[in-house]
This record gives sequence, C-alpha cells and structure tokens, in this order.
Amino acid sequence: MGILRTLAQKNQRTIKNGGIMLKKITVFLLITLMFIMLIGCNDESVDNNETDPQESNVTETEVIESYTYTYNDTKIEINSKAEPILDDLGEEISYFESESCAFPGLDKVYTYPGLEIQTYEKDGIDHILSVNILDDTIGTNKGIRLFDSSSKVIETYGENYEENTGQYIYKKGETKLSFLIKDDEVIAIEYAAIVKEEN
Amino acid sequence: MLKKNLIRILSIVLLITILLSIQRLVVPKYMDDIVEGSLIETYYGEEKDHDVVFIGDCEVYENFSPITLWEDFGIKSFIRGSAQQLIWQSYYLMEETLKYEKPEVIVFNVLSMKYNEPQNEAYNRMTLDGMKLSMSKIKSIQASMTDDEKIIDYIFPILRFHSRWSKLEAQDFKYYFNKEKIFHNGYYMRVDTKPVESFPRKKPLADYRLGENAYHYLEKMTELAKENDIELVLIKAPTIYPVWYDEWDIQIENYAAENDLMYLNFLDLTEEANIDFRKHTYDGGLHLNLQGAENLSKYFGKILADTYDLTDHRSNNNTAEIWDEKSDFYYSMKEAQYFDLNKYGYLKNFGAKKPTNN
Repeated sequence: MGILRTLAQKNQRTIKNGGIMLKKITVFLLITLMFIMLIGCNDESVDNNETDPQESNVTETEVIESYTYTYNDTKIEINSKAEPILDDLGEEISYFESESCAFPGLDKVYTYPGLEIQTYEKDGIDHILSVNILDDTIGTNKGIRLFDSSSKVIETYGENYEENTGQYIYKKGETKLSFLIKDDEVIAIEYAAIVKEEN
Repeated sequence: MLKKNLIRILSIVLLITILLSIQRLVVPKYMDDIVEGSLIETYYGEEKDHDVVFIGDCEVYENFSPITLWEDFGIKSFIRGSAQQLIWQSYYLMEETLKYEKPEVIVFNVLSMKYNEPQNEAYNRMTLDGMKLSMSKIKSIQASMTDDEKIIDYIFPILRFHSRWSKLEAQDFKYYFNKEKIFHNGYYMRVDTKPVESFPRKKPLADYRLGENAYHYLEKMTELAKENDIELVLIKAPTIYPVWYDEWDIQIENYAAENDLMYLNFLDLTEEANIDFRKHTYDGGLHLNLQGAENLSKYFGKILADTYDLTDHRSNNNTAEIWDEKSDFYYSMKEAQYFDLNKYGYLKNFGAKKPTNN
C-alpha cells in the first residue's frame, strides 16, 4: 500500500510539473506568435531578391557624397543612372555582358579609349558600378595617372586613405577611389561603388 | 485535470500546426523564377548510393550531366550544387552527404576559393534553406551569416519571410504541397545558345593569395574525404566569367600536389573536352548549355571511370530501370526546351528572359 501511495504521489507531482511545463510552452508560443505578428507590421525589408547595398543608406532628403569622374566633359557619377551617361559618351569600343548566377539582371562592361565603365542593374535600371582607367592617356580628375608614384597619390589626395595589401582607398559616402600600387607605381585606378563581390 | 492537460496539448499542437502552415506558405518557392533556389532540397528524395557526388556553385550544376555519365559510363552521380555556394557551405553539404552515403568520389569546383568571408543573404538562403535541419546545417548557417543576419531566422524562416504574406504569388499556393521535378540529379538543363562574343578584362588585384578561411575549409574537405576513404577531385569548370586568375590556379595546383589530389582545370582542356564557346554556352561563357555539359561529362566521365575504376552499373537491371526513368524525363525536357526555342526563339516556359538587342 505504501509503495502504491508513493507512486500515486509521484504521478501527481509529475502531472503537476507537466502542467507547469505545458503552460510555459503555451505562453512561449503565444508570445512568439504575437512577436511575429507585431514585427510583420513593421518590417518592409524582407524579400528574397538580391540585397542592394545602397538601398539602406539612401533617403529622399539625404544628400550623400559620391565620386564623380569627368571624361571628355561627361560627368560619370558612381551609382547614378547609366543611360544618360552612356548616351553622352557615344559608341563604345567594345561591350561585354554577364548574367549573375540565378538572379536576374546583367552586369555590363563598356570600353572607351583609356576607360572602362561597368554597370549593375537595380529595379530594372542600369546604374554605374565602376569606372576603371585603363592606360596613362587619361588620369583622375586631379591628374593622377597610371605609373605615377605612391607619394604623388598621397600628395594629391592626402593621407586620409585606407591601405589594403597595396591598395590605397579613399572613401566618399558609398563610393571609393582606389589606387593599386606595385613597386611604388600606380598599376590600377578605379572609381567604384562600395559593394561586396558576387559571382 | 487530464481533460485540462489534453486541451492544452491540443492547443499547442494546433498552434504549432498553424505556424508551420503559415511558414510553408510564406517561404519562397523558387519554382517559377530563380529556380536554382530549389536545387539543394532535391537530394533528399533520391536513392542515396551514388558513385560520384559533385559539390559546388553554379559551375557544377550547369556544366555536368549525370545522365550522360550514366549513359556513357554507368556512373551513378548527383550534383549538390547551388548558386554562389561558398566553400564552407560545400564542406557542410559534404559532411551531411556522408551521413546518408559514401560515394567513391567527391568532385569540388574551386571557384568559391576566391571568397574568404560571408557574402550575401539571398545567395546563402538558396543553399541553406533547402537543407534539412541538422548539425551540419546549423554549422553551415553560422559560417555563412553576414553581420546583420540571425541564426534563428534560418531555423525558423517564418521569422524572416512573414512579411511576404502581402506579396504572395500564385506559385506560393501552387507549390504549397508539392514541387514539380525540374532538375536532373541536380543538373539544371538549358539547351539554348548565346555565344561568347568578347572576353572580360582581367582586372589586376591587390592580393592574389586565396584566403585563410577558404583554405581552412578546403583542408577540412580533404581530411573528411581521407577519413572516409573517398577520392576528392578538385576541378575548375570551363567558364570564362567570373575570371579565374592564373595566380589562383597555381595555388590550387600546389595544394592538390601537396595533398595528392587530382586537380583538373577544364579551362585548359576545352579542346580535349570538345567545348566550343561559340556553340556550347547559353549565356556568353558563364555556363555551358546542354551540348556543352554533355561533351564535358563524356570527357570527365572517362577520366573518373578509368582513374578510380568505377563500377559500370548499366548491367544491373534494378539500377538501370531507375536511370531509364531519369533519362526519359531528361529527354522529354530536352524536347520541350527545343520546342520553346523553335516556337518562341527562347525558353519561354523554362524561366529564360526574352533576348534583347543591346
């Protein structure tokens, strides 16, 4: 009898503990559901589309500084719409396009004398991703050309740059101007949007 | 007391069922567009006794045809590929695969060695969301997350996609219970052709060294293969873009030599593999079309069969029956794609965009 009573008491405790546990789980699930519903009302950013690195930093009233390169009197602003710029530049020497893996949209590369422009697609519209200087017939807006020395770059653009394995990077808003230095000579110059590389 | 508890249990079950049902509805289906997001999950419904498993990014799932490997060499293969699959994702997919089966050979495409850190949530999801919940998946999520991502959003995708309720599309309801079969053992078929017309310039890089984190996972793959007595084969698919630098190639060659692995850079073997970029690519050199993938598979299949003495299973009636069915589906899709191509000029019913003139 004693054993039976002990077992019965144990069962009651187990049921009681189980009840408390169930209550906790129910409360947790209800809170989770409410949380989901609440954030569901506010969160507009969820999508399975490719993330646009610029989107989160731009508002209608905010003015963000960016690099603009001038080529034959045409102003090429990084991250701006490509069509009017390309129209202004006239026919390119060569053109290359590539799709990204899976996601729609083309990356396009236009080559002009001494210059290469790459675009990216955002909401179906091409924008300027980068401007690369290809030879020493042209230079940056401040006159730095390929094969100039690193000291000339610093004299011209100042010491407020980030160095990354031989690359001097001057940032402005969501854009950058990079000089790749090898053996104390500039071997590549690029104005570009700040994005992570994708294939 | 019992009645109360029963009601509580039923309430919880009901609540969980509702949450899971909503989750199933709101997660992207990847069927009418960006179909590549459906690739990873297709593995779980397969017979898991493959001789060869491919792991990697789009350079595996668009460039090799398991049906050709079967038809020409009797090799049973599967491609566990996904868009921009990063090397840590490949490693954890390999780890997960080995819980289901032990293939003779695992083939890994090395393009992803160029990435040393997490890149992009949208691509992450195309690999991770298709995986079944397991420790491999959790570790893969942890290795893949960018700064503003949370692990809980991957384990319970409803937390990430709940606001899609206002953007639900017909495909969300159409594929609520079942998805149509659209791949061929992980191969994504495209019969159309867009020749290579120009080559991209190789931009000089600040640093050509492949990253430490990428090497860490390559080493883990090598160790895992050795522990399981599996041959790991490294490849670089023959695609001209994204650019594969000679400096990277030398590093992979050295790694393969140091670790006694086979490494094939198919960019150097296009003639032997009968790849002609005027005819065998559907997107100007990024991926091969069906003819290109079949040619490459014939070439690679012979190397695999000869080097690793793989069994030809074609005389096994049971296996042959399964693969005959796969072949039927393959040829019916091939026919349907050519039908589209002839009628519309592009693969209208297979997610392709109507060609535009630049």
